[in-house]
Amino acid sequence: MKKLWKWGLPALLVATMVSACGGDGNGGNGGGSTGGGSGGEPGGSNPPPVTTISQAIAKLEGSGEMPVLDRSASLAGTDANADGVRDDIARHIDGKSDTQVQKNSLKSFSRALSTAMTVDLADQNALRGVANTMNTAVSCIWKAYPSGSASPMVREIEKLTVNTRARYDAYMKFNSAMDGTVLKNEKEVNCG
Amino acid sequence: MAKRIHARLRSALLSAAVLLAMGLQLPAAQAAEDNICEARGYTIGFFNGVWNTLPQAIDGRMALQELLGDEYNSEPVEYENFYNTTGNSNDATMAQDIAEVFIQRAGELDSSGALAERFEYLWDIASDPQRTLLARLQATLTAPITALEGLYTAISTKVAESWSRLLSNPPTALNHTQHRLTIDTLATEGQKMLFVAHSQGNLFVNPAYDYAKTKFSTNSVAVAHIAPASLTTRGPHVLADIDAVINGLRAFGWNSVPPINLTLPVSQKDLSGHTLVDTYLDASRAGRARVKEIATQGLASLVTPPALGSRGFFTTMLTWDGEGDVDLHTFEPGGAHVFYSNMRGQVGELDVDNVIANGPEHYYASCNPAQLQEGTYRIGINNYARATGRTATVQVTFAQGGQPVTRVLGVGAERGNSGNNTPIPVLTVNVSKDAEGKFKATAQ
Repeated sequence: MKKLWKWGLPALLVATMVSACGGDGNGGNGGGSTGGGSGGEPGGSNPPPVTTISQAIAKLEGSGEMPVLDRSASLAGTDANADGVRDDIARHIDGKSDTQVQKNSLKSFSRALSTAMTVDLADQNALRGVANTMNTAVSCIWKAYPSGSASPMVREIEKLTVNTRARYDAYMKFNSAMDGTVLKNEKEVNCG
Repeated sequence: MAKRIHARLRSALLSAAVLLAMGLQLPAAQAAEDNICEARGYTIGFFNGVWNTLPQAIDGRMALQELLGDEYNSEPVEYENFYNTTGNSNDATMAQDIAEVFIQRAGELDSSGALAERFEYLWDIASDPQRTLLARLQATLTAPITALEGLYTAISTKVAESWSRLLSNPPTALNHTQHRLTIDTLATEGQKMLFVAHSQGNLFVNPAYDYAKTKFSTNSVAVAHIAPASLTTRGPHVLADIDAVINGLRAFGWNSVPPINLTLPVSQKDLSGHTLVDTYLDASRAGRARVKEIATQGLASLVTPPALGSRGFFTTMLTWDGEGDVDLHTFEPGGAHVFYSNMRGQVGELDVDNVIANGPEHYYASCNPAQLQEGTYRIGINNYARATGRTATVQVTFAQGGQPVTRVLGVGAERGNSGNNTPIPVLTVNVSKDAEGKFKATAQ
């Protein structure tokens, strides 16, 4: 039976996920306020065909539909104003039509993610501090956004902040270090 | 020993007298104002699903809190993440394997390397049930590239391989120290517990439930299973017919998967039909009401257990791994030394003392702001007798929430009374007031 688990489950998931992956050409409205797919362009000459993935990425980022993200080697990235939020993420959040309270909650979460990537994994107190900051940050997103909107925001900021191999590796090590921990909801959430 | 028992009895009688006097003299409203902790009630422990990062697990807990509320049967409800990762090695090798798959397959699809260096697409595939970035990429292309779906398949398969290893060899004991100590503390303080598990979390919730049951003589712990892949369950479950991940197991002969008991329409919100927030708690479909029903059923079944110890602004639990007498010592900021022969301090009390084996010993700091002192509380332990070679675990939990502080250490040599004034230092708790005059506690 163990062999079944080893080979059967992945194979089955491949089948179900392949079939599941075909839908939703519009892509929902994820990515916050960055808009949907391109479709045709109104008027003028026909736009050049977008036939490759790199062309599609260039078009999305060139049009502002997707943010142009910092992909520098450093984990923290560029943070010119030293507020703990990477400048590219701050720009992306500031470009949203959300309220200032909502934007602040997203920035706090991105800041917590950056801290998680750079924390000393051997420092138990520091690890706990990051976990508590993360707890507050996610709670504040839930406090700031209406029901149904918070989870997509958490996913969006996580994917945009942890956007390079080095950041991904560092972040996953933080999560592994959190394995087996307990985190209680805050009695009073102070979102600053 | 006789001296110690006398001290314990005297302290217990004093405590009872003080509590009785407080109960008789204080109107309920005034008592509430004087209490900066949550009263006894319910704790809902959330065991997260497969491949959840910590923020995603917190997000799931928040979604449960929104559904179930902060009060049940006129008692407060608190929420705790019992966090588990998929692939728990500290070097995160499984995560690296998944990253390698992403880079390789993305490179095959896009030789420019633009996709392979954009790890936001890996997150999109691995943890966004709508795969918003991938869908937007497809929509931007003049003609969709069907091979892009292979990228999703490759990563999903890699995640599934990791999960299948865990499913083949599920945990049979509660191995996480912090999980165990938290259950110990909640049981000692007479808290009723409902564990809610989703997906992979069902593999961890069973041993947690089995462990918690040993702490109660009453029916004070229950489980609600959501999308269980576990071979056994400890309570009611919800499994949707559209859950491609769990139901896929049955198609391959794994008939021990619990039966489907929920019919849901397919939704673009979550094509896998498996995620907690976007399928089972989706506000537009029936899963949400079913989850609420089984969770409420669990809450309704719980009986308030006797409390051995009080809840505190912060509490310290000491346990050890066998016979012997290990003592918990607390030095309060005002100079009081709280231990077995002086169980009541100026702020708190050692209200559970153990002289036989395993513990627990339990200290709580007062929830009365007029009694709580700012400053540093030093926590230590002493091997009083017969515990040489044992390992002690000390955990401090906070009424304000957040992560407990846990320390595991040897109990040292047997020192009897001579160790009372110089116990082994374990950690310090600092209590202060913020700008608004609210107490906060930190520990290190």
